[in-house]
Amino acid sequence: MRLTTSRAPAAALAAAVALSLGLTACSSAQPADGSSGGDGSLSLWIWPGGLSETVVETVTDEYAGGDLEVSVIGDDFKNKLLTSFTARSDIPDITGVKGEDMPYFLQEPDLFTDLNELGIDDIVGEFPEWKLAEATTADGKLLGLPIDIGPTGLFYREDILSDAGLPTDPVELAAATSTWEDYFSFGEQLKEATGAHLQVSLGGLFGIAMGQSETKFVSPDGEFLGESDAVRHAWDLAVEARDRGLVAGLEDGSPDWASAVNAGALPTLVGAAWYAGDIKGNAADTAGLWRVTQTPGGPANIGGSFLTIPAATEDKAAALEVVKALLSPANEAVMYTETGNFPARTAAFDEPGLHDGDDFFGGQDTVAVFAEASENMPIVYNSPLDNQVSAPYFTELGNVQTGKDPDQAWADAVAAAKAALESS
Amino acid sequence: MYVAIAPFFVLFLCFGLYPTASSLVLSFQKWNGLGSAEWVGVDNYVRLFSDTTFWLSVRNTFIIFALSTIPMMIIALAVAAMLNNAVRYSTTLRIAYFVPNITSVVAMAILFGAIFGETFGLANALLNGLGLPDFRWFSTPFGIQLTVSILITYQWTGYNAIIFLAGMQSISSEVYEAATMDGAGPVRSFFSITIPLLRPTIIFVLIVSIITGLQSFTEAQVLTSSASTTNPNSGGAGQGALTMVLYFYQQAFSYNKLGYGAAIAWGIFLIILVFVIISWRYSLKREDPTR
Repeated sequence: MRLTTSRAPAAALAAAVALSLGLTACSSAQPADGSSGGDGSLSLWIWPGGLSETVVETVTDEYAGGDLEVSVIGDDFKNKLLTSFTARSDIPDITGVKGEDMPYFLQEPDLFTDLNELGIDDIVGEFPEWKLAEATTADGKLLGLPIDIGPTGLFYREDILSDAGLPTDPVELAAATSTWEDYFSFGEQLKEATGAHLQVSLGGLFGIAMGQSETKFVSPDGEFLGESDAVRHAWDLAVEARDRGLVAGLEDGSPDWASAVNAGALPTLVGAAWYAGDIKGNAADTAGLWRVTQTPGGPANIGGSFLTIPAATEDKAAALEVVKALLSPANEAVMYTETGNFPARTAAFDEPGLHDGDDFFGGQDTVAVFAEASENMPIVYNSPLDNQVSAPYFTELGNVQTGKDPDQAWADAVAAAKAALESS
Repeated sequence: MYVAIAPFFVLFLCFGLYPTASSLVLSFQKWNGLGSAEWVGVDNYVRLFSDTTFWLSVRNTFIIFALSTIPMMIIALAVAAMLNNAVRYSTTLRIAYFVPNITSVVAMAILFGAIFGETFGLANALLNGLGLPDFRWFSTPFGIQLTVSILITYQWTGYNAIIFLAGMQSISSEVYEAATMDGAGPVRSFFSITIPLLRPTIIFVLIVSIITGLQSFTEAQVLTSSASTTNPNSGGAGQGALTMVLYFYQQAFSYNKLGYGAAIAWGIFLIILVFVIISWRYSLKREDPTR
């Protein structure tokens, strides 16, 4: 008897716990807004390395309206953001959106605040037009302000080019490699003299060449552009480089790539401004030997992210103030020196210290090189379907690298890309 | 009593049954995750059936499964037999064999990426030391399948050896003593006594290996993930390491085809179901010959 009486409250407790657990878990009746409860506190989502930690600390300390709660979210950032949008729960008041995910989110502009309506006229002119275009809908809504951009350059080892009797001055080299054709001839001389390769991989070269094109794989109307002149040209360039023996056939960023860069087997690398960080991190011993100049065939952009204010944010004005503070010229300059992400805000280039030169590049003023590239950047349309439609070309170029017939590979790539577009 | 088991069922309903059921509904829809879903009937399944990339991923999965599970079972049995006879440091050895299983796959995959680097990796240095040519661990489809298989084998051998060991220790020592009296050596005892009496354990390990092997994902995803954002989760050279689950992940989460992704997931479910039924029927029949 004593046993049963003492059991009953325990069972009731267990039931209550289980029920509340279950209810919390299953509940979808959360309020639709984010965590801003009118007390002035704001939440900000960013991925690791997306913003400078120093800048985030400064802005958090200076924010007077309440608490600024910054969540650094790793792994698959887009899907976590998507989950909160779909659940209409815990949507951040300010969130980063990666450049490659922006075309996807542009499909649902109603999820975000049109920043044009919030009064950004005083600063919007200080961001590159081509980068703002990436976050602008067809009817002119601006969903995000850019944090950083990824203008490409040609990184090269001055010592190795000098030994090979090739031009080493950035301006002279840029003039000698202004077109892809010139660049390939230059590469043949380089290979003759040193045995080194000009390019890392076929896919890498194809990606840069596509980045220089104003059209991509899918038109704004959803038409297939995978057989357009632009795509064919980029493909042919990659195959030509292979035929002329200029491609190492390594995976960018892999241990083999790092070894080759250290050993001087890849004395020329084409990549975005942030690529300098990869080189520094993997080949620290080559400090001082590198220089950078303009990309053969013109500038391209790889990457670069945005700050957005979701539509669910209550205090949009306060959120915009935080965005403006994070992207102030001084803070953009701090971000560049701390993370290597290249500032999107052109006013940041005038900040003290930014043109002082980079010791890793022998004291060269690298900012000037990328700033010039940004000025000449084409305005492009990025379709939300570009990623999946372009993927077969990269896969097939990988196959060409290991011996597949280029014509067969092209046919297979086009067929697979068409199928990917039709099924989306 | 029902209250005591309720927490599991409530959690299972929320996080197990409900998502499973809604993924079945989703597999008949077309949804990019943002807008509203569109009902497309069996379109996703029709496309799945004629999707050459899906069948390639099925093929890849079975190649990797065979390349990893067969050596893994043999090595695990040998290791278990040795552990069973070990007189010294047996606990230390058991822990050592188990450690790979509780190490983060991501960390191991990064280490493997360095070991199997083609130009400057340790594995090719060893091959060269033996007078063999470089093997292309990453740049051919078979190479990458082999590398993924070695990683899976490394990760699961110790775990299964411990399970085999538990099975071996439940075999009565009298049987071995009788065999020794009859003049059987350790090898004969192993094949004539240990293996037959261990059959339930072997079948258990096999079924678990089928289920985990056909769902292999992390190893392939991490080993091939250095392929940049331009071509994410495509399974490396020639899509050799594009397993079924990796293909599902790519379609659903890289390309936002959530409806089609759900259809792939159910396709994977059906394939695994077939193989589990086969191995289950086979084991029942063999255990009870009168049936």
